[in-house]
Amino acid sequence: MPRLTHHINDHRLTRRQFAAALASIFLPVPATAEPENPRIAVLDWGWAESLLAVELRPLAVAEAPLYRDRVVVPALPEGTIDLGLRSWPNMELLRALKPDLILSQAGYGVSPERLIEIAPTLALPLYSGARQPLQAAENALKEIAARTGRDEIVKRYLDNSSSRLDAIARDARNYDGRPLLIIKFTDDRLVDVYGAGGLFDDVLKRIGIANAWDGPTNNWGFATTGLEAVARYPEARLIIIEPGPPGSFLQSALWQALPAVRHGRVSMIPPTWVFGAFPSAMRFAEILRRGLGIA
Amino acid sequence: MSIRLMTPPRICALIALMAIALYAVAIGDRVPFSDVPRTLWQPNPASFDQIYVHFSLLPRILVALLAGGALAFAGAIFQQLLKNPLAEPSTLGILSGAQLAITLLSLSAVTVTVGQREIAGLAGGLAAVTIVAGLAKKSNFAPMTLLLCGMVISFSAGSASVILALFHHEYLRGVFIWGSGSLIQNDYSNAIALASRMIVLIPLLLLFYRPLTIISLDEAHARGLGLSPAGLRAAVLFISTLLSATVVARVGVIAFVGLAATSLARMAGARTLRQRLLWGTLLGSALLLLADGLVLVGAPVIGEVPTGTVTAIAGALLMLVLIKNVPHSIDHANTDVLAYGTSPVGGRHVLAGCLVIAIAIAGFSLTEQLTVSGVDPSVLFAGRWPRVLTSASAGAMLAIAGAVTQAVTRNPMASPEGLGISGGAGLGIIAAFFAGGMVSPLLPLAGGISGAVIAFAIILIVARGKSYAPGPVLLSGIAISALATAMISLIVASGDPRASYILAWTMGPTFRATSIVAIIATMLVLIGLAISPLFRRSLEVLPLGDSTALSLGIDPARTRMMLLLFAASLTGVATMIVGPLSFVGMMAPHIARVAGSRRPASLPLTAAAIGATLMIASDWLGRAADFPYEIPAGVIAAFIGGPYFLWVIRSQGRYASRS
Repeated sequence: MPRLTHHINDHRLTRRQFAAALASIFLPVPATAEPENPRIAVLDWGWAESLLAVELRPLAVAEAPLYRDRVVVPALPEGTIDLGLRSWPNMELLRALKPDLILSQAGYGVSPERLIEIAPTLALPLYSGARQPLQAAENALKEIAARTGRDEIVKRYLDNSSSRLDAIARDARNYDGRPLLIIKFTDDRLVDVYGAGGLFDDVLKRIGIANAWDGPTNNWGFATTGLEAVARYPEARLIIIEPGPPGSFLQSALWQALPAVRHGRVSMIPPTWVFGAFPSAMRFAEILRRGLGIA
Repeated sequence: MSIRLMTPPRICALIALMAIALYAVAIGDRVPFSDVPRTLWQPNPASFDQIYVHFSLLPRILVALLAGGALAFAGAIFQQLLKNPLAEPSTLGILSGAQLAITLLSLSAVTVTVGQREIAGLAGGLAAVTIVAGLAKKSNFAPMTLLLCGMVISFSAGSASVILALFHHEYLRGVFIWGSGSLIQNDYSNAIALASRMIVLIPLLLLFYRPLTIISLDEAHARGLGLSPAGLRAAVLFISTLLSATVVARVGVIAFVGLAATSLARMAGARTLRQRLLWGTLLGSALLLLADGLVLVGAPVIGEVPTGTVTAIAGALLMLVLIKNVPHSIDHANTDVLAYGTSPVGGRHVLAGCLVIAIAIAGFSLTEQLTVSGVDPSVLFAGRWPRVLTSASAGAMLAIAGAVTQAVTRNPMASPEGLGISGGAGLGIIAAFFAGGMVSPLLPLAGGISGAVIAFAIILIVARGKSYAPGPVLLSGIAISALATAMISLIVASGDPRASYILAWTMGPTFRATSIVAIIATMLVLIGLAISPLFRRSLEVLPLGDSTALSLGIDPARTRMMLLLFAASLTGVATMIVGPLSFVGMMAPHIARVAGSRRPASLPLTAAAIGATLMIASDWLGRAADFPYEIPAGVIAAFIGGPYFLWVIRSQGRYASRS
């Protein structure tokens, strides 16, 4: 067990420390008092982080306080207005804000027909029947850029991201090639496993590391299962998204008997927003690179 | 089937054998037969499969046996104590109460230990049972009143949990996974904890065995033997609740196992309390083991389904079958209360007054600018009139439905939401989301209406054999609603980001109302009001009793069916708009009666005006209270209606004891 504990301590940055560190690397300082910053109301966190990535400040974001807690980076600027629930934003507030543009996720929450009555609306697909969120996120970025006249910045951002992913993919050749099982504990008995149709799976494909999970997944690209399903992939390396299980569970016979644990093939990584868009994907790639020590 | 073939030991052995066969399949899947003995005693630490069988499947079997037995034992005690064949931890509200308390605890603390969870569960379960028993005591624990109180407490606690989930589902997923009753184990801690508590609590309850048999014979007789029935009842209730809450805290909500086991034991011929306790408990163990075995073997095919969901589905169906065993009569103490109210104000003045208040609140709600500013009043008005009109219509519909339901069931506490229509509508909405996603807002609407129709058809079929008597109708409603609650838990537990959207839909937020919805709803209310005079005579005669009705040339069964159909249609539509639990259908007619409107002709009208007022006010409060977050109007109404319900039962109890 000492080995695993060591691993865990290694990565136990708090989420906020980590966020701050990442933000300093990735985020260009938002330009203050930019005159032509369009007033954009955002109903989906994936589009909120996408806007920030291309140096646009959203006027209002649904469930903004929870975004600060769950997505963390890129951080929402002070004074971002809270629009209410993502699934049911406050229509009156939306109307009162008179935004230039509303961004929503297609197929989720209020239908675009009702939003269009208030302001021009882009309902962009992310987690959809196409099951390719990374590609959808990139397309969305381009569409947002075209709509706001940020083509230059988006192109630069996507080029930088692409070369960054290429670099990580090159480094990944030094990795021992074991397939990964990316899990998150829902309680001390069940785990979410991320597979086909999810953002993490797309990132793995992009950087050339195999995802061990070949079982069925839902619309959002994950499956909820007991630990026995994890044991079905004895060769895999286990990537646990923090927070991990309670300490007492790590001592249990069942956990210790998992092939990956027995052979010390377990890494903990700091959390990333699991239903995010392009910036979340980039963050996950960087976190994974560190977590696997392949740089 | 011959009675002699179906003895309790045989049924028990049969179910246990099926369960064991399922587990044998699950274990055989992991470990070759020759390794099984070794796996059971000393598993090879290098073999995950052996470790898994030893540290996960074996404790799971033990937990299923213990939890099933504990719930059934508690159920048998409750049934004996309360003289009610449908009493069990879930119908008494204990499970929902415990769940709500644990949900609240999880929101207020960062990490929750099992010990804390147990204490919270105990506190919640005790609070629920205290309220239920305290209320039912006034009517001398009459079966219908007891179940009705249990239902209301259970609904209230359940919907409070759903509201918390609506706003915090990101944080509450773990709680809902636990709450939906998964029996997955990772070690022996739960099995040991359950066993150690049962070893103390069950013998403690058996100390009351003789008094319990006597109390079932005759209360006066028991008092003659020097027992204090109240003290005895309190002690036994307390310990049985302790037992049930322990199970909830450890494995989550496992509804209906106690009911199913004791009913099965009774049907198989367990007559005495001793037989029911013994065979009920063993059957409880066997039944939960069987349910869990099915879940375990089915998991690779249908995915991870919590065992509690399976028992809720099976139990709800079972309850529909069992309804024929419930006493036909209803609580007669209630009947008088329909003539309750001594206010001197005449019906017409009440109606006018209500209309003035309704219009005043609507005017305020349409024009106020407390939360948003800088919007043209005409734009505000354009956005608001649909929701105000829709709320008013829904309130009026529920009120008319409530007035009719209360007359048909001869129960002033009856609420049209208790008809099961709402639960059916909720299930239909959920099914529509999973069938077609969120593509069109019309799909869930269609799903809700079909669900309501199917639920009502089931109730009619079940209640037909009982000439649509009030008791069976209400109990069918309880069963269907329990099913809806279980499905909602399952959705939150699944971690699907759409959960909050679906929750909002099933809670029926008025803010999604469009002008078309508002106009349709208003037209339906007008039609309902236009039809209601046709039922005047029936509403006057039915409360007088079936024989009086027959002598006046009214067929009570057919009339009741017609009236229920009318009430159910209105309730179904209203549910789509304001959600399943508003209590408005119970409150509005009651307030109307208290205000002095007692004649069947004017009651529906006055009640409709009051219902509309309540919903307009709730809609505004829901909009303003937590801006920019919108609280569904039905939820606000329920927060007013729950306490009102408790107050009504209290005052009614006083009334009954005076008479």
